[in-house]
Amino acid sequence: MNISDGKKFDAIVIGAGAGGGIAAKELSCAGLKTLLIERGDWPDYEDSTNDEFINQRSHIIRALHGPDRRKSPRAMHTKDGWKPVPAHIQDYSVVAACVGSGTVTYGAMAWRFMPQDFRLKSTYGEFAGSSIADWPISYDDLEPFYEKAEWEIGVSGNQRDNPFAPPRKKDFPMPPFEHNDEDVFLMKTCRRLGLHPYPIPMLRNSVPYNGRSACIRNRTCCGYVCPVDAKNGTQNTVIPKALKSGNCTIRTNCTASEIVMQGGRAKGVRYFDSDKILQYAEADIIVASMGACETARLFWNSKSGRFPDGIGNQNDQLGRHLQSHAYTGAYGLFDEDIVSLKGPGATFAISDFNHNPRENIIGGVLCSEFYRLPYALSQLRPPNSPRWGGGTQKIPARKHAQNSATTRPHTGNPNARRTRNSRAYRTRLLGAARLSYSWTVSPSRLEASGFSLVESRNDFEGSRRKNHLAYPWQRKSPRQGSRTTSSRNLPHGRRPKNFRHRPFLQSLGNGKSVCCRRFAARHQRRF
Amino acid sequence: MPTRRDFVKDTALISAGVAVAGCVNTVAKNRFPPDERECVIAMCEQIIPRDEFAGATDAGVVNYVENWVFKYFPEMRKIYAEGTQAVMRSSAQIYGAKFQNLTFVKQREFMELLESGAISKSTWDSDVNQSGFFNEIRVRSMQGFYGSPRHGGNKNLVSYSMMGWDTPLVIGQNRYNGALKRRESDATKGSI
Repeated sequence: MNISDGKKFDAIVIGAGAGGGIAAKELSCAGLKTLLIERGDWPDYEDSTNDEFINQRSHIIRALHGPDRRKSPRAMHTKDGWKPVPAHIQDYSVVAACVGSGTVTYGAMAWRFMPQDFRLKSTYGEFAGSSIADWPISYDDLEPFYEKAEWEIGVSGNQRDNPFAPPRKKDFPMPPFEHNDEDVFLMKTCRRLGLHPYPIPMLRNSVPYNGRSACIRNRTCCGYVCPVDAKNGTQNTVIPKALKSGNCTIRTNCTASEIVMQGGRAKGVRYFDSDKILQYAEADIIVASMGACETARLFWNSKSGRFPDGIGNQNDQLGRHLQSHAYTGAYGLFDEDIVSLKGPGATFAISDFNHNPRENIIGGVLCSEFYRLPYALSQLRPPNSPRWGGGTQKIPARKHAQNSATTRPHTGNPNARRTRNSRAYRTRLLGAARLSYSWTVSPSRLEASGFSLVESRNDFEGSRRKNHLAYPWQRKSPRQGSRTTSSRNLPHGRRPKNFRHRPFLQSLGNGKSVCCRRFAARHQRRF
Repeated sequence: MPTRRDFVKDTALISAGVAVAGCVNTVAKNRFPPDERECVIAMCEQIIPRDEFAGATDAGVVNYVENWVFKYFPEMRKIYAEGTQAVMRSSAQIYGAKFQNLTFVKQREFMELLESGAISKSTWDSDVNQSGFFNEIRVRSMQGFYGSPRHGGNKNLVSYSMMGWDTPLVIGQNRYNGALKRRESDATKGSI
């Protein structure tokens, strides 16, 4: 092992993604000699082929920016025990392995938390089996930093039409994007329903900003590298600034294997360099920003007398409470063309249900969806439509320009994904994260996902009842509950007799959903 | 003394021979054996049959499946080899002919049995899961039909044109795999 860097650095940042890039910039611009370690390489649009199967969003063949499935093993808990999980399938939870990481290829929505998000436990109470908690800081503490990030990295948008927006002192640096045809249509309907649509704050340049050009409305945006560099990530904003300061050294293709501890303090980092030779560097400050799974894996691998089960794992909480990227969504098909071929979509959102018990529904932000590419669209089928055989081509062929979608991340179940009884086991010296979680979503949440809401009122402008389809969509989620009829099962334009609109609030840890009225009765004082 | 004409003729013949030999090797290495290939083609055509729109065979879906198996995920080779053999074997037992030689209606019947895992264990006689294998073929057919032609399927952009999807999308200039890298390496070699 080379003790190459001795005490050369004041700080080491492991992982050059969303958090690590910003940390490296702040440290190096404050005059600290900083080493930034990244397991991947610099991203390059030349590697991108606008391929629906090779990108970071639908990595059917491989994820464009890694990680390589052979080099980064992970295991998943199944009914047959622990099984290796290949990186190209959804359960692997791919996070891009390149400078900038997910910020290179993300959909680039720039949400602020709302003040109430910091007080979830004190507002809604504790649920057995959940990880719900209050933050030790408040929105007011974070507000100046939100503003700094928005201006430094670059966000387009305005919150004038959002009466539920958290307070802000300064507007976004760039004007919002114009709405695409599909969203103009949906927004009109939202307004008629008394909802408040507003443009999504986007980390994309609506006008030239920071010396880079404006967005060209590419369809392959979310999951892809921007061909004109109009998407703002850490790789084209803060990391170049860090490097320009002269205090930051970036080492790409280097994978951290262990944080070396001395007593209770982190002393240095062992990592494999691009030639797979083990190196060692020391610093006073060490920032681990490798993403949820890999940070936990590194901490498990970093054992010392003080931390025999890994750094910070005295209470066996390391790697637990993993939050997933699970979304709830709804798709609709219309009689007329509402989709233009311009990308990337996702231009409006509503926050009417964020901490606002409107009609007994409380949920997260609801957004229009990004442009659906051909294979993704071919997989969206209305109920009763064949999965295979004659007629499968009809929907994609006839409805390509007439489909619409809304989705939202559901934050209801903090235990949606977690590592449980997990220990990194050592393979190839680095260890592999082992995951165990479920994608369970309760039907009541599905009903809160927009289309079912408007469908139940038979009020979706322009969609004739007989041809109108609305069905929530979920990933890998079995249907639960016997009393509620999921609107996924709605036949064409007809509401089943026993259809009842169950309000969305929160899912209990055991997978049962609780209806808001019952919940309110149970926690009257809190409401 | 050989004339110029003889020389050209001989060279052409030798090149042709080399080309054919090269082709044969490639085919043998990256293709299903003929029987298996026909079976996969027939199964894919069942998933996306030609009707008013183009079908899986028109889109060359089998080329995508072969790329999937031989190029991208070689670990799937065993499943395809065993799965197709089991399909042909059990089809022969139930209908008296290999799957690819059945009529379209009989093939459909067989696929329905396969989907629901209803073929008896003794007939199927394989470790490959029936509905799992059906699903594998279903998903690959869809991907081969709707995915990028880069991976072997979607011949002549049949699905894109069916959907009215304008492609390839031109953004300033179209980019191709490694085009710039090639240009750069040419430039460093001084050939440009």
